Amino acid sequence: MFFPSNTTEHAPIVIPTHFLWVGLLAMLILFMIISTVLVYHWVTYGYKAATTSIAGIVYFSGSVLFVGITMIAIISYGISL
Amino acid sequence: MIKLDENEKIILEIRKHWFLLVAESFFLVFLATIPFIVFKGISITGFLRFITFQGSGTSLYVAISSVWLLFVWVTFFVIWTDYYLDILIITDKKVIDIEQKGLFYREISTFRLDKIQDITVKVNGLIPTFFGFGDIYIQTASEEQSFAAKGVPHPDKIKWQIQDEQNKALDELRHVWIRK
Repeated sequence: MFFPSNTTEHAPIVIPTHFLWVGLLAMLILFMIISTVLVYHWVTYGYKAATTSIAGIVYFSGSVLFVGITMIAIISYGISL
Repeated sequence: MIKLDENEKIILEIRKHWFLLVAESFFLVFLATIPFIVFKGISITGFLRFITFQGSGTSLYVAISSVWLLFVWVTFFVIWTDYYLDILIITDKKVIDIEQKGLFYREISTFRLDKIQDITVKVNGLIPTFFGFGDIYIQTASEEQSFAAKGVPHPDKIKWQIQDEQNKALDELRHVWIRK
């Protein structure tokens, strides 16, 4: 329920955490598809394995960081409800 | 991967100038700052003062911002991949031009050095002149084939290097004819 039924003014909006988890899951599926395409290009057409390896490490490290922060933030939001 | 002939050596691998990668990715800097701009905008204007969220607003803001930054991060790597796979390779026998446009269009053109008829270099504008990059147009003996490598660093040097290699290739051809 987005608005508690007993209040009409300054009603607090409640975003259920499962909405956020589903949103994150959708983003992760999209991320996996794009990442697969990127890695395919790096492996198939890359000229120097060292460059593409470094790119892969940087790319996935950054991505894990952002996904990790998102997950912690959602958990923290869920606890605060 | 590129297949080369036996004993064929790569002389040069040329990508676009780094400035073009920076210029192409510059809008991402703006996109990355959007969550902070929105946050500041809301706190200055009090846009959401009539709406209150149950639970930690900060956690919600961090979660949404992180997903947004992930999107910006992935977009940068898509642009970088396009830049990295777009390359002009000069060997001692031929020129290989690989055009990567987006992730799903790739064009590879190859022509022998001895088929080159004319090489034109164009450096047009303040920024290309300052940073030392420009376009190289290569005209070959074949009617349809002319190639353009745009935004390459030090186009003059590349032109002379291609011509050097072309001269060597032509000399080699002459020696073969004399031997025959």
